[in-house]
Amino acid sequence: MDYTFVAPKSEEELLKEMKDEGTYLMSGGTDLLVKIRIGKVKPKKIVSLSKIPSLKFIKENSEELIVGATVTHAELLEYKALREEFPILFDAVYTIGSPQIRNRGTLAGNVINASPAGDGLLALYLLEAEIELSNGKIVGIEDFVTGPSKTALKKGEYVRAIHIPKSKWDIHYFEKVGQRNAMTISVVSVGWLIKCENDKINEMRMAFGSVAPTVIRLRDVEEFAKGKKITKEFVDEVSKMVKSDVKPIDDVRASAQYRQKLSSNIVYRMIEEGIKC
Amino acid sequence: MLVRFKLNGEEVEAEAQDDERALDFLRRLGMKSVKEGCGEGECGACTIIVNGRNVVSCLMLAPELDGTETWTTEGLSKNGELDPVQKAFVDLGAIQCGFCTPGMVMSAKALLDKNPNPTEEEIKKGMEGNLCRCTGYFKIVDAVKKAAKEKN
Repeated sequence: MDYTFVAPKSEEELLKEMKDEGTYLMSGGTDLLVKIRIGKVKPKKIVSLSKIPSLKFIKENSEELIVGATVTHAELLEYKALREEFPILFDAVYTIGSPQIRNRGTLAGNVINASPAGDGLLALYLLEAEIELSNGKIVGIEDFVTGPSKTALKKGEYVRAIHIPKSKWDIHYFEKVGQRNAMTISVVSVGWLIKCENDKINEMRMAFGSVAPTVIRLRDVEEFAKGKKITKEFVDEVSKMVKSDVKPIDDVRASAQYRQKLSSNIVYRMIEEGIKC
Repeated sequence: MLVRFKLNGEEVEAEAQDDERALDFLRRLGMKSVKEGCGEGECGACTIIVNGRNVVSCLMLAPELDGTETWTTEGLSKNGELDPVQKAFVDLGAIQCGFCTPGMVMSAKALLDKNPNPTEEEIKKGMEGNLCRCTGYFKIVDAVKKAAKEKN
């Protein structure tokens, strides 16, 4: 047997179980079990979170949505208020994997996996989500994810929940470009949120996935967009900025050059789709 | 560890290795409809239904089946009669080499149990985690439509 398996029934038990060297926590296992299979991860012990009731919840108050660590993508998509109040998160999570993956994988797992291609992660960057750790610490998503497959999580800590602040946006857009439509990992993913004032942009947030070591926010574009109308000239400028902001790499899915070109072209969806304030 | 669960409607108790995949465990219990294709959650050939949801058994550990209600294609027919989903696949010839079929049937069943009247788009979305190397997708979509009609 390569590793042992335990499924503690409370967070107290979990803290005890995770002390051993070589322990990995697992919720859906859709990333971890693949990493074990290819030999990238060699656990001595797997601790399943699935039997801990206090980690399985979706709560809401006037300021935020709080998603427990073991809530699956499917459960999140079925949560009624998600589509209405967090459409960008709905759209992103809806494109993750397949029904089978969405039935097992979790939003918290998507965060901890810290892939630059994480679809759920891109929406969380745009919504400026915060990660609640087991010791009560709250860390902003951009500080939590420190690199590809790297997070600020320290030994003995685990993620308890994800806090997503409520905010109203007039325009939301998410697109994932992959090698096919179904069950694909993004070659480039993009999302933006826009608040309008009259016919101009009041506030914009823009993020890209799969073009840098982590998902990135394009703060220069966001700053530039303030007070602008969405015209061809505006998008020409944004496109140029995107081209210099993204730092993609070559991999099996696409070349760096293709990713850079795609990133700078994809913002023309604003014109194609007739997006305006 | 000892895994106690409901498999195809019957209480089952069986010893599993901690690091054994649900896929290998179920095949060991005789559920040979559960196929290994890619072994990494991409192809859906090993799809089973656990607590009402379709999942890939290659990305699940056998001990995780403990306490669940699990279904494989073996459990679908009743009194020698095929399930409407199985029957539609047979009637419309939505089977070529047949390797992906049990997984396809389980995903179709999970979809129709949740959404008895899916649109073509919903069928494609519901079946997106199951690949057919023979690429007989048109007939598979037709079979899911037919099964929906007969169930209603």
